Amino acid sequence: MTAKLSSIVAMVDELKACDTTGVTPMAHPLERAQRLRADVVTESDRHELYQSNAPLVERDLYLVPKVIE
Amino acid sequence: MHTRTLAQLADDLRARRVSATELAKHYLDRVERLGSKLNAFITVTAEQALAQATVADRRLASGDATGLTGIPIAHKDIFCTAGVKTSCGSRMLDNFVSPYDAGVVERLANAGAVMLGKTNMDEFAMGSSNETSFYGPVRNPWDHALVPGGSSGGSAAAVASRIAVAATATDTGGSIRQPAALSGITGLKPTYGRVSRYGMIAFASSLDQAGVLTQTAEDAALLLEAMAGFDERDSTSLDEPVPRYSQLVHDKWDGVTIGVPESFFDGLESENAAAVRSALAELEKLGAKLKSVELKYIHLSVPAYYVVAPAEASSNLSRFDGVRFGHRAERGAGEDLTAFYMRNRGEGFGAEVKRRILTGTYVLSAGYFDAYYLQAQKARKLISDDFARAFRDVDFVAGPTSPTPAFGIGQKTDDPIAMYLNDVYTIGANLAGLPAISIPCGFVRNLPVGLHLVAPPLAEARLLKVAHHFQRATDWHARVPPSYA
Repeated sequence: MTAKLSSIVAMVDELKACDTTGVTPMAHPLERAQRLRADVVTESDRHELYQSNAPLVERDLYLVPKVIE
Repeated sequence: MHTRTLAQLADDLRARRVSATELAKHYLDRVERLGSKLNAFITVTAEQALAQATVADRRLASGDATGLTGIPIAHKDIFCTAGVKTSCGSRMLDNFVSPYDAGVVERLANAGAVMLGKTNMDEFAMGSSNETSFYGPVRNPWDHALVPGGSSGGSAAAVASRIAVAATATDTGGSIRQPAALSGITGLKPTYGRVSRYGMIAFASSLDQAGVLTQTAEDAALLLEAMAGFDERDSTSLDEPVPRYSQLVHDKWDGVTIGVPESFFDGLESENAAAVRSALAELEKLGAKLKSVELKYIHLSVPAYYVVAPAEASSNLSRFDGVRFGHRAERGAGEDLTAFYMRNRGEGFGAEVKRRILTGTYVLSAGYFDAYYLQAQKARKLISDDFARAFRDVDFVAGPTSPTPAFGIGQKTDDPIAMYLNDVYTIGANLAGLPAISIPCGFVRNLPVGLHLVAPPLAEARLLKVAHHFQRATDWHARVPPSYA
């Protein structure tokens, strides 16, 4: 795994050779802004349906091992 | 029946020459007899398909049908399908039954399409050969010892072998177009935001796009028209009207100029290059003008992609922790939460996914973010500007879809970089959010190869039209692998 990860990092290191002074980073390929909507509740409570896939549920809570400390 | 295109079958259904139920049974039979050798399907939804076909027949009888009503299609197992297992090709979701339908699934179901099942794919869409799937590799119908391409290998193999009329798929770095080329079919990745990503399991959110794998550009137009459109549940969905692709694809040919970056042919094997050049010559005969263009920074595509995509994947895949759904390991004695996460994720993910999460986390970490992620986003801007500049002079940018035809199963799995380089021609379109298509354009050593065309944003109609005219003058797209004819 380590050797393969090193080869991947070496490949992406090629980017460092490129002069990108003055270039604006591009987050969205079409340079659009995040669409916003009104802050109102639109979802309904369907937790029973969604929790049907849960491994371990008790009183609508997901059970996990104790966080020690 | 199975050598007919979607458009032809739609006609047959409308004219009642065949019923949706007959069609569903015919394809389900083919899936059962021929699908397992290809390993193209993860889940076959036979009962559902027959139920949907019955409803389709009623719609067809009452005149309430669309162009897709009764057409048997397959969905890549990356699209959530309510009540049906949705695995994303991973052990992590082997036990996951989706509680809802993806936007794409909803739209096609409403149009009356019949779902044959969920197709096999590279795990979490990470791969170019469909060899990273938890469910085993998919085989190329043209030669079972070879890969069909990836990550949408199952969808591609299903359409190429005609065990499905058409299939949905996704493309983040080439995962629709490259399998289309390697399997001898048509594959379209729309403009970023053209098709809803709601319910489409996320790999790299700024690159992922849903698209189609079909026998022809005409078929792609029919499917895209039903799939595309604004979805308020996808915050990156474009609020733009959907053109009547199914009609526009038949529009008269107008003069087009096709840009060809000569650097694309450097080091390309001569037979592949010859097939692509002869396809371009065919387009010239049809009236296209060819023009040399330069994409100065295109050599940065693969490194930029292998920073951006894994970075976004590391974020998207952090939700898979075994707490609320998905794989949860057997409880170890005295185990704490951290150990619990490590075992769930360690067991749930395959090696390629782990590699990408690790590199993604690394390039986002403090001290490395500027050098890698920010730098990659700047490279992305340079690549996008290159295309924008080219499109001032040309209508499309053309090239080969893939550096080689289909390669052997197991041939490149030991060398991630060799595998990544399969996407060298396709990745640019994802980084720049542009629509792109791969169409069959010839054979090299009896294996299909594809011609790749990239267009400006929202120019899918023109792209499909050019591809359709090419397919009217040639017959590469009509070839079926001998064992599946």
